[in-house]
Amino acid sequence: MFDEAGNPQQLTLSDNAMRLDIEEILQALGEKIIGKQHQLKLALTCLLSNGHLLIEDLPGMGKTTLSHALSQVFGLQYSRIQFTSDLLPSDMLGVNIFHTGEADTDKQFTFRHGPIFSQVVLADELNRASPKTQSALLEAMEERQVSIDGTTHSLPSPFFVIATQNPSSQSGTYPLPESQLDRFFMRISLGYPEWDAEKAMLKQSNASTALSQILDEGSLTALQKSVDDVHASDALINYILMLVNESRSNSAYPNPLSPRASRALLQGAKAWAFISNKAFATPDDVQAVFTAITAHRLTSSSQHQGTGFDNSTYARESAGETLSKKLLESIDPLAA
Amino acid sequence: MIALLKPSALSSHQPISYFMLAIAYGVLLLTLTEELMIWVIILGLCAIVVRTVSFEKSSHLPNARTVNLLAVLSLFALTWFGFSIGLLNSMINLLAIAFALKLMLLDSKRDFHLLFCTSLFLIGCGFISALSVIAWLGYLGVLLFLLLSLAYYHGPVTPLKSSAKFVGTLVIQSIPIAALLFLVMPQLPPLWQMPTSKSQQTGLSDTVTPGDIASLAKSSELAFTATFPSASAVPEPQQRYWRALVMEDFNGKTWSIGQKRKQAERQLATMRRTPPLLLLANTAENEESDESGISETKSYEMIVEPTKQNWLFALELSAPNNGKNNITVNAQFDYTLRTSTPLMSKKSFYFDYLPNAPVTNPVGEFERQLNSLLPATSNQETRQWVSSLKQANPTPRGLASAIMNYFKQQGFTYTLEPNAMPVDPIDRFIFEEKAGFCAHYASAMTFALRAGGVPARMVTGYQGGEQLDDNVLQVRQYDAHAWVEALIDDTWVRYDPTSMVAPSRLQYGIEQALAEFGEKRTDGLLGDLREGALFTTLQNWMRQMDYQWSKWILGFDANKQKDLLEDLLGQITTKKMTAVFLATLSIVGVILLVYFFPIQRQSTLPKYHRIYLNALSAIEKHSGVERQYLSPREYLNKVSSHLNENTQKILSEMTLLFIESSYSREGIGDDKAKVTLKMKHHNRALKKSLRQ
Repeated sequence: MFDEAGNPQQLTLSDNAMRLDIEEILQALGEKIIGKQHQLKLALTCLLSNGHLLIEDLPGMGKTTLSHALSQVFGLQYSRIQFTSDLLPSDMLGVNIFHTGEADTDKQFTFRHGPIFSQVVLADELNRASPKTQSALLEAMEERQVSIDGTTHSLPSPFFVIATQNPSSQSGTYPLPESQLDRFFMRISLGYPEWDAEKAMLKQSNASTALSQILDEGSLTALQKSVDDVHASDALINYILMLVNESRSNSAYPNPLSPRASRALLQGAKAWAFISNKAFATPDDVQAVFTAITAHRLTSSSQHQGTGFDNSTYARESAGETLSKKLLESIDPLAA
Repeated sequence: MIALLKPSALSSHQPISYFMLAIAYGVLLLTLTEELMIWVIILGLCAIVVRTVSFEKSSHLPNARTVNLLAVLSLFALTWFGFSIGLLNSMINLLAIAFALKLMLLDSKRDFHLLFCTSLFLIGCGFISALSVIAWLGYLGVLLFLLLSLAYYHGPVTPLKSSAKFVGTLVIQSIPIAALLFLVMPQLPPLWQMPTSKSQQTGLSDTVTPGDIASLAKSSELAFTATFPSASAVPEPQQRYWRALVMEDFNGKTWSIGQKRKQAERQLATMRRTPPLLLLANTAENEESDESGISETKSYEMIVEPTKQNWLFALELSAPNNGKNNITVNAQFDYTLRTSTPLMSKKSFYFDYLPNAPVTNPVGEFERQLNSLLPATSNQETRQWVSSLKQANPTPRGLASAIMNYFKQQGFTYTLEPNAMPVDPIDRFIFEEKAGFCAHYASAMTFALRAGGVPARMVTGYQGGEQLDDNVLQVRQYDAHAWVEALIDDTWVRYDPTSMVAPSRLQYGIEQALAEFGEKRTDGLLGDLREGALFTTLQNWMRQMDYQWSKWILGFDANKQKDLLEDLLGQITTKKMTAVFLATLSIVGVILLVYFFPIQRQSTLPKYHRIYLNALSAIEKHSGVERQYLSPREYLNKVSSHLNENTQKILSEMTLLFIESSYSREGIGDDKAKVTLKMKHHNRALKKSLRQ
C-alpha cells in the first residue's frame, strides 16, 4: 500500500506525463548538484510556486550552478547580475537612450533593456549593493514590472529571481531589512556536500556540459497551474494558521509571520505535494518546506543579520532556523 | 546543510547561560567560605575561570580525562580532610567539588539542568548557617539569577530583558502561593537529624582560661534577642544576668565543668529526680493560679542564634516552658539549661522568669565538696592572704565582702587587654597586675573563697543587653560575662567582683566601663567610624529589621501557626484543620490549574480523528516512541520498527484512512459513519494486536 518512501501509491497524480517531467528534472539537476536532493526539491518548489529564491552560502558551493541548471532544464532565458556597491539601479533595469539618426523619425528616445529583463535572474551577492539598488530589484520582484521615466515595462513571464548572499565577510555590505527579506519566498543553503557526494562530484567527467532542455516555457506555466489544483483541506489550512498564530501570540518570536508568509506556506506545501506526486497536501508537506520558508522571516533585526555561522563551525544553525524549528515543534498537526 | 547539523546544535545563548551559572556558583562559593575548605574554593574559582576563558570557543575546555583525574584526586583529598570537618561539611564540600568539575565539562542540556539543581542545593546549604535577612535577600538574588539563566538557556533568540521579564512574572505569580503555604501548611519536624558540625562553635566556651572572654568582647555578633510581654516586665540593667554555664573544676589555670559534675547529672537523671528549677517553676505556677494574671508578665521569649552547642542561657532564674518550646530544654541540678539537640539554627525558646528565686544546693554534701577543691600547690601567696583575711572575717559572708572590698580599694582597673599571666595567674593578678576583666576577677574571687573554706564556683553567661524596643533586649557576644557563686547557708549567693571595679559595666555595658578606664572595645578607624551617628542609626535599623525577621519569619513555628489559626477560626478541631488544609491545597491547585491548563479550543475534532488519536497514544505508550509534532506519516515511519508486523499493517491502514479523510479532496464525504466505523474497527484490532 505504501512505497519505500512511505507515500500512499493510490494517491498519485492523474497526469503521468507531468510526473515524468518532474522526475526527469530532479534527476538532471541531481547530476549537476550531487547529494543535495532536498535543496533541489525546495528550489523547484519555489519555482513552481512562482516565488523568488534566496540562497545563502559560502563561495563555491554551487549557487550559480544551481540557478543556471534550473534555467537550462526549463529552457528559460538567463542573465546574471553581479552586485557591487557602485551598481546603480539603471545598470540593472536599463536606460532610455537618445538616438541620433539621419531621419527625424529616428531622433527619439529608445529604451535599452537592462539585464533584469530575463526569465531567470541571478542576483549575485545581493547584499553588496547599495540599499537603493537593492530596493529597485525588490520592487521589480514584487510588481513584476519596471517603471522608467514614466513608462512601464513589463518583465518577462515567468520571472524568477535567485539572489545569493555570502554569510561570511560581512564588512562593506548592506544587510537586507526584514521587510525586504519577506519578499523572498524561501531561503536555502546548500552547504558542504557529504563525503560520498563530493567524491562522486570529483570523479565526474562531464561536469561542464550544459544540461539539455527538458521543458518549454508553456509547460512551466502548466505545472504552476497544476500546483494550484493540488487540494488543501481545512485541516491543513488550520494547521498553517495554528503555526502562524503561535508566532504572533508567543513573545518568543520577535518577528511574527505575516499573511504573506502563511500564503507562502500554503503554496509551498502544495508545490511540495505536487513534486512528491500527491493530489493533496498533508502536514508532511508543510513541515518539509517550513524551515526554508520561515527561517529568514522569523529572525529578529537585533540578531546578526541572516546567519549565525562562521567559517569554523559551519554546521551551526542560524538563529532563524532555531526559531523556525522551535515553532514547528510547538504545534501538533493532529490538533487541527 | 540539514544533514550536517548536529542533533545538539548550539544556540547562541548557551555560552551566556553557562557564564551566568558560573557567576551564580562563584557567589555561592563566597557565601559558603565557612563550610568550604580553602582548596575547594580555589578549585571552584579555577572552574569559573576555565568557563570564562572558554566563553566563545568550547575547544579550550579541559577534556573528560583531565576532569576525571581531578575528580579522583579531589575525592582522596576530601576523604582525608572529611574526618576533621564532620559529615555535614564534607557533604557540602562534595557538592561544591562536583559542581566545579561538572562546570568545566558543561556542554549539554542535561549537564545544565544538573548544575542548576545542584546550585539550588548549595543555596539550601547556605541557609543552614546564614539566616539573617541580608543572607535571605542575597540568596534570593542568586536564585533569581539562576532562574534567569535557565529561562535564557531555554528561551528562543530573545534579548535578556524579555527573559528577565518572564522570570519576574513567574516569581511574582508564585509569591501568593508561597505565602499561603507558609501560613497554613502544617510545619512538619525535619525528617532527618542534622549531622553535628565540627566547625568552630560560637559564643561562650565550656572552659574559661581568663583571657577567653576577652576575645568574645571583640565580637559584636548577636547572641540572642529576648522579647518580654511588656516594657515593665523588662528587668533592670543590674538584674540582667543571663546564666549559662557553671564551672566547678579548676586546674590552676583553667576553669571547666567538672567530670564529676557530669557524672552526677547523668546519675540524677537516671534516678528520675526532678531538678530544683522545675520544682521552683511548679510551685510558682501554683501560687500564680491563686493570683491570676501574673504569669503573663513573667514569661518571655528568646530567639537564640545558633551556638552549635547543647547548653542554653536564660535570665537568672528562669524555668523553660517546654509546652511551647520546639526543642525540649532540660534543667540541670546546677540550675543550668541544656537543649536535647545542639542549636544548629536560630530557634526561639519560651521561659518563665522567676526573679529572686534562690539557687539552692539540691544535692547536699556532694556540691559542697566539689566546690571546695583546689589544686594542691600553686598561688601560695593568695592562700596566705586569704587565711589572714579569714582571721579578721570568720563568717563566709564576711570573707566574701572582704574580698570584694579588696578589689574596690586596691586600685584594680578594668581592661580587655591584660598582660599574660602564665605562672600562678591568680597571685600575679591580685598582687602585681591588678588589671583584668570579668574572668580574672571571678576566677580570683572563686579561688580565694575556696582557699578560705567557702565553697564557690564560677558562673559564665551574659550580662546586660541593649534595648531594641521598649520590651525587646538584644544581647551581643561582647556582653559575655563571668561571676561568682558562693555557697552560704545551703544557698548559692551571687557575687560579681567586676562590679566593684567597674560599676558601670552593669549599668551601661562594656563600652562605658572601658571608656572610664580609657580603653575602647574596638580599635582603629573602623572603631571610630562605628561611633558616628549615621552608623549608629543604620546599625539600629538593621538590628530592628533582623529582629522582626527572626521573630515573624524564622520564629513562625507550629505554635505560632496554631495561634494564628485559632485567632482566625476559633477553637481548633481535627475536622476544621483538615478542612483548612484541604481548602488551601485545592485553592493552590485551582490557581495552578487555571494558569497552566492550556486554553483548549472547543473540541470540534470529528469522531474518526479522536479514535485515531486514541490509537496513536496507545502506540506511543506501547513503543515508547513519542509522536510530539510529527505528522501521521512521519510518525508511522518512525515507529514502524518498534512494532510487530500485524500492528504495523493495521497502523498504516489507519494512517492512510486518516490522511485520506482529513486531507484529500474527497475528504470524509458522505460516508461519515462508514469512516468512523472503519476506524473503530481498526482501533479494536490494533489494541488486540498490541496485547499479544
